[in-house]
Amino acid sequence: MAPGKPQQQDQGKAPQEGGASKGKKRGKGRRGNFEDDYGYSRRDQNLAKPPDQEKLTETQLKEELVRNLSCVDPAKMKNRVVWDANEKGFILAQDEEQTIHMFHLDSELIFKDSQEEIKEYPFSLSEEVEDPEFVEKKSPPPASADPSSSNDGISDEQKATEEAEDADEKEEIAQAKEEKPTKLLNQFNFCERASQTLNNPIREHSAQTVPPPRSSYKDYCNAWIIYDLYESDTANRPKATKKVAAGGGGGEGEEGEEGEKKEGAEGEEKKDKAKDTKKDKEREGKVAAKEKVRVRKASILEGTAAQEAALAKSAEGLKILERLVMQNVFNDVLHDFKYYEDASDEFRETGEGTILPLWKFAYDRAKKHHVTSISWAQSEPDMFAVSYGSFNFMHPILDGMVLIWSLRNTAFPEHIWMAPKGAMSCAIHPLQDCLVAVGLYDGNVALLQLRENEENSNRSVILKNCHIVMKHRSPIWSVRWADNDMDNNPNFYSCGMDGQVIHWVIDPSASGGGGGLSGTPIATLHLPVPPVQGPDGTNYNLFGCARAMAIHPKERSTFLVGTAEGNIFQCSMLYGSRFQQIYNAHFLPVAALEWNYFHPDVFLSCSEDWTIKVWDRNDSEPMYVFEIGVAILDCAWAPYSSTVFAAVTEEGKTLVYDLNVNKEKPICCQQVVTKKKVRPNRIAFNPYYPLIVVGDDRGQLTTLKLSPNLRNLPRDPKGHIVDGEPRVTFEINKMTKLLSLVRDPESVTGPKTLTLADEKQAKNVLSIMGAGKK
Amino acid sequence: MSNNEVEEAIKRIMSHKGVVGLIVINHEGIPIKSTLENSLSVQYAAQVTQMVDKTRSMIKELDNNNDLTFIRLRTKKHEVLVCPEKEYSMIVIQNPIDT
Repeated sequence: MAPGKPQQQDQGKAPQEGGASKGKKRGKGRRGNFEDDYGYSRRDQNLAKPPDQEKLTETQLKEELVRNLSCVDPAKMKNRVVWDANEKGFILAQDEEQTIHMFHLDSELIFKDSQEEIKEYPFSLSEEVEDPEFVEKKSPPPASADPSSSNDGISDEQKATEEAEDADEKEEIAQAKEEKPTKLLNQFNFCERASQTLNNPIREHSAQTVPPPRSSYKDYCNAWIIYDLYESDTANRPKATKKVAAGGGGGEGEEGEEGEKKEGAEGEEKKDKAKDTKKDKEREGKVAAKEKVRVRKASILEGTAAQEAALAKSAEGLKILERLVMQNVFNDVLHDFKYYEDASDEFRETGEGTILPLWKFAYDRAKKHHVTSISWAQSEPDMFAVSYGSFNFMHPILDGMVLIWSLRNTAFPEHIWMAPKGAMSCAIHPLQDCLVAVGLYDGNVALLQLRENEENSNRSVILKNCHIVMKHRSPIWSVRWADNDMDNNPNFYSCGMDGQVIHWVIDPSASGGGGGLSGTPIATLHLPVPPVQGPDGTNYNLFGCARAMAIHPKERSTFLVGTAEGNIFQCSMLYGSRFQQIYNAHFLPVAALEWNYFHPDVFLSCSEDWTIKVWDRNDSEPMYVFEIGVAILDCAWAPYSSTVFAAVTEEGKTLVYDLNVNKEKPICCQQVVTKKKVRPNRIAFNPYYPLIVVGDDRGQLTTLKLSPNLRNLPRDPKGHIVDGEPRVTFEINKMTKLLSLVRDPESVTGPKTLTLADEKQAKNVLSIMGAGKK
Repeated sequence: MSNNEVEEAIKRIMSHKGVVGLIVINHEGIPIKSTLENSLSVQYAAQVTQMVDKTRSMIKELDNNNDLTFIRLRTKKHEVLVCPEKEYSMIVIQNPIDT
């Protein structure tokens, strides 16, 4: 239909609309091609007509046909009849509705001015309500149309008549109307009110920091990579197992790994554990390709082996732990050591004291050795060095060792050094307690340096200069440190059975061989006897075999040497073989010698001839002689008093004397080791604590605590302990008093001292020779 | 200390009176050597690691130059000794000896 219409239009009229159009040629009555709104042009009018199209006349063509759309179904039956039983005949059937109601909405909109509006809204919104006609209508709500129309007519009349008369009334009504509220009412009588506050404008303010530097890391992980890593790991492990297998520590590694093993392989592993040989482990490591489970187990083992190897490097903690454990085990001993003071000392009238045994130190490899020397470290009050060798020359035990013990760990020494020959003496340097000088059985000296080894960063004993040119031809009985020389090199003296005293200097920069240790003989101990004739007639000068040596604490160039013949030589480092004095001290070898710590002239000597003697060096006769009745093996002055000394006897007793208290009897006499089975060889006082250490010939060391009576310290009137200079003076005075008691002023025998002239001469000679440094 | 000496030292510690067990743990807190059974070792290791960290942080916070040397923990039943190191920590459980 649609295409039909434009055709007709075009033929009939020429559209003259302007406006939005194609913009092509337009015009009235212009012939030619122009387009109408539909885009058709006249050209198109030469339509293709089918041949059988009906030909109509012009008038017929102009006829307008109207088409309507209705909802009447043209195909519907119009005359449908149905039989009705009531009528007993056919009746027209009701037409069924052909429409389906799909949606129904009640409208609330009412056409204005319609009757419905008037009905429902007596009060209307529009201003036209002010019309008086309407006003009248409002009072009685009109129901029908007729009354409204009649009202209209009446109102018109009224209007015409009343207009002039009731102009005021209208105004009143109008005013009254205005006063009435023009509110829109709803069912709920709801009225809404709102107001809006000012909205504050929002402003945004921000700051940005410099982002932290980032780097991204990417990597891949999948099953193959993991597998490769495992393979390379197991390839590396066999090296570690071999090391451990050699060390024999793998067995414990296995035990430790039990928990980590896979359960599936437990049966096999237990079987393996039963064998537990080195070969097995190596085989396991090589057999890594056998089973997957086995591989894993081997790698765990080897992993721990590598771990253990690394563990060995940083095992300082074990040391500390051991000390902790020791502390626990010997907790009561520790308390005694620190705090226990024998209260009964106060009640002893004779000033006697007791010594309380504390710890025992024993090393299982030193069981057969004799303790040959004990030396406390001056700077660390709990450390001491002990040398083990043999005093039994008939059946000497050839090897020996030097152990550094600490009071903190009594089960195991801090450092161990095995000596190739028995160690006969040792001494810790008074200032640098990492240096230990050792004299050996074969005449060599050894210098131990306790230093951290760079390799495993642990303290280890590094031996220096063990086998240099032998200077001594016999066992070295004593080594003693002297003060550092002018170049600040540590040096020490050793005296041996060959009668020589050799001075050793540690000079790392020295060009001589031996790594910096060089020795110079200082003195030879000629015995004060005329030369003896040998079998072939030559004269031999006899040498004394040095047994003990002591360097004066103050005059560092003076020292004493005791010999096996019982003589004591007082020598000086400057004089060489010329002695200042010779004392005929004992009949049997001098066992020990020591200078008094305070009094410069007093020294102590003891010997196997059952005596202990206290000497004043200016006298050739001893000041005090103590006849014990048993061979004395060692004696030592106490570092805290000038009148206290201790000694050990062959019977196993320790004697402590305090000359201030009792000049004849010891204030303590106590058995410290088993009688007759064990001989205590050495005794040493701890420089700080009231402790003495006794070493015996079973390689054992016993520490003993001195009771208060044995260590009476001088107190000033206030009760504080005197210390420093006044103390030294006090001690010296104490001793002097004691000496003066004994000394007979007239019968002092002059010592054989060198005169001043001789001294100078000797010095010159020696300086030319270049020997003997102070 | 060589590996041998480490073993010897451990044996020695174990032989002392009252020592119940010894555990060596690595820096991750995994026991690598123990004389106790595994579950107990792992428990000890876990607890001790935390305690060591906490203690160390406490000491460092109080004084930055200070550091932890060892811990002694006395309990009713026994005493736990811990010695932490850079890579390893060592734990010993010991029964204190009553005199």
